[in-house]
Amino acid sequence: MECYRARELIQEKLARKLDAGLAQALAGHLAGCPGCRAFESGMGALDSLMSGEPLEDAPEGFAARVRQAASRRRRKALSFERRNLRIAAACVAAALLLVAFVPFFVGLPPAEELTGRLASIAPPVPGSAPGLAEALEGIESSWDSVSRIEIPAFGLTGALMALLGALAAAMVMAEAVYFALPYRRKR
Amino acid sequence: MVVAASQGDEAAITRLVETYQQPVYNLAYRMVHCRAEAEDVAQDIFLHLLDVLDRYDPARPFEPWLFRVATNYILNHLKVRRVGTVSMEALRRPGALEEAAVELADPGSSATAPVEQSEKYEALHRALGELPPDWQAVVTLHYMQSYPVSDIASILDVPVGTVKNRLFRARNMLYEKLRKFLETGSIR
Repeated sequence: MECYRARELIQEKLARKLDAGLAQALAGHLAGCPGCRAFESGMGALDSLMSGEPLEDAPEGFAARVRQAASRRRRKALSFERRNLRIAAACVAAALLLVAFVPFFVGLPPAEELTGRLASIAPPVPGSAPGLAEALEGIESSWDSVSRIEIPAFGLTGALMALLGALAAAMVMAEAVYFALPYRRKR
Repeated sequence: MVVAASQGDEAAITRLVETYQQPVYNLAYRMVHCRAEAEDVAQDIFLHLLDVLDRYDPARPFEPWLFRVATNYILNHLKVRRVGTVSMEALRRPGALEEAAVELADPGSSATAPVEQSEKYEALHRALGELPPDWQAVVTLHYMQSYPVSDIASILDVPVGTVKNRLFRARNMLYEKLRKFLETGSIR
């Protein structure tokens, strides 16, 4: 048996996983090999040393420090999430306000005119529901007539005013949301 | 407890940390070989654990999963920041470890007091610190937690043969580094 194999078997012997046949072969090798005998002795000492090392106690107050750190991290994460929420709310508000301002500057036809046109396209028939084809045709021609309405030019001044107004309103709304959030009240 | 901790229940988090702080701290200490650093690493492990706790499958035992998370965290930590403290650097000087081993093996040759148990472990830690991190993980899990090779393979997500090989080579390397005082029998 070569020394390398014998040293493998010595480690298996320490792990109590050596069968009788191999144990006998190992014993034969050890009887004539002082180097492997020293290895066996040293390996036994190493095994005892490593197995016998007692567990150290965790530092005092360790659990409390972990809890505090976890709590700090959670607050920070929450704050970050809410900040993102505020930004998202502001963007939505800005978009909504921009859409709301546009009709004032592009100028839609008067309400009476629109109502009149729609009424002429799909006149109600007393006592009978209009057919689907008729209804669809009505909607199509209604859209055509609306799209043919002449719209005044969207002036630069109007656009800027709409944008500024929307931004201002968005900021106000964002701040309102910020102060309305529950964690803000706790501070 | 684990489910409650994953939902942010502070009492459950405290109980979880108190239950596992000793093995996690010791695992960190036996792999980074510095108490202050081990405390920081152990704390980071628990914080990381709270982040990934929702991935834990309650149908499986918690402790091996915890050790898997902890070991991977420490191995990453060691990869990012090699343990290169001043004392370890000093130990890497050629012959430093052998000098320490000779001193431990033969207390009479030194002017210092008889070898204390803690000094033996200190020498062991110095030798362990020179092993590759993957080998250290295997040795630590095997000797500290008495995990069988198959469990270590599962924790480290490597084949059983790899664990056996690492354990064999790690023991051989430790033996070579500490042979002078291991063979004198002064450890026993």
